[in-house]
Amino acid sequence: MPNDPIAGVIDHVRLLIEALVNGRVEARTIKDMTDEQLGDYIARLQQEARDEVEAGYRRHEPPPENP
Amino acid sequence: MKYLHRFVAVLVIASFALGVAGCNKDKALKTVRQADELAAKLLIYGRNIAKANNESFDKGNIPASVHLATNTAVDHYLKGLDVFIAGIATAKKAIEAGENSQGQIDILQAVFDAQVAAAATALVNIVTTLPPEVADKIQGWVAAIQLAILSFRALFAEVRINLKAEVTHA
Repeated sequence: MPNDPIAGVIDHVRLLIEALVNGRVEARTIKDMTDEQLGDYIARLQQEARDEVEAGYRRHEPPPENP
Repeated sequence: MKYLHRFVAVLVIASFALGVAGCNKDKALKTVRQADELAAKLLIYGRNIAKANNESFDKGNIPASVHLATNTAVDHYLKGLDVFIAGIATAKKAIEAGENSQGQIDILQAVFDAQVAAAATALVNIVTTLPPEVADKIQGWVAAIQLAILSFRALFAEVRINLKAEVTHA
């Protein structure tokens, strides 16, 4: 944890707000996609989101033991 | 002559019924497209939240317990969305094959409520469990997820009303 926990939480909130704002900007492009493009885009988003979650779980795995 | 009139009347009724069915199908397919668009938006939010959560943890902003709880909530939310997206594809195929549009929309809404809405609410609850002095700063983010859920429900309600109105007029 950082020295100032409140500053850490504020930074955490900043990152979440950025996630929202960036998401809104990205979402504006969806309307112009063809059905096929949208299908491909959804498949890509599912993979990217899944990768982030798996990366999140890996942060809690115990480090590999040294041989 | 009498039989000819009857035959013409049957043809008119049949063509009108087919026209309404086609219209229902078009509306239902439009709904499926809108559901796809909203699902993509919800996926964007899910991916971005997972990314922000990882970044925040790497910077030491949040403890392991908060990071893991948020990650698990995003995981459930994404699994719910996976089921819903598969449901959209199934509904699209069924509607294109001429199955009952209203029934497909009803199924889609039930899947959304059971799989996505509850998981999204749980995710919002986890993220809003922050110190009160900063909780109000993420209201915009929480509102966006809630708005997406309301958009889905409004979309389904509108389509249901339109389909029912057409069936009544027929």
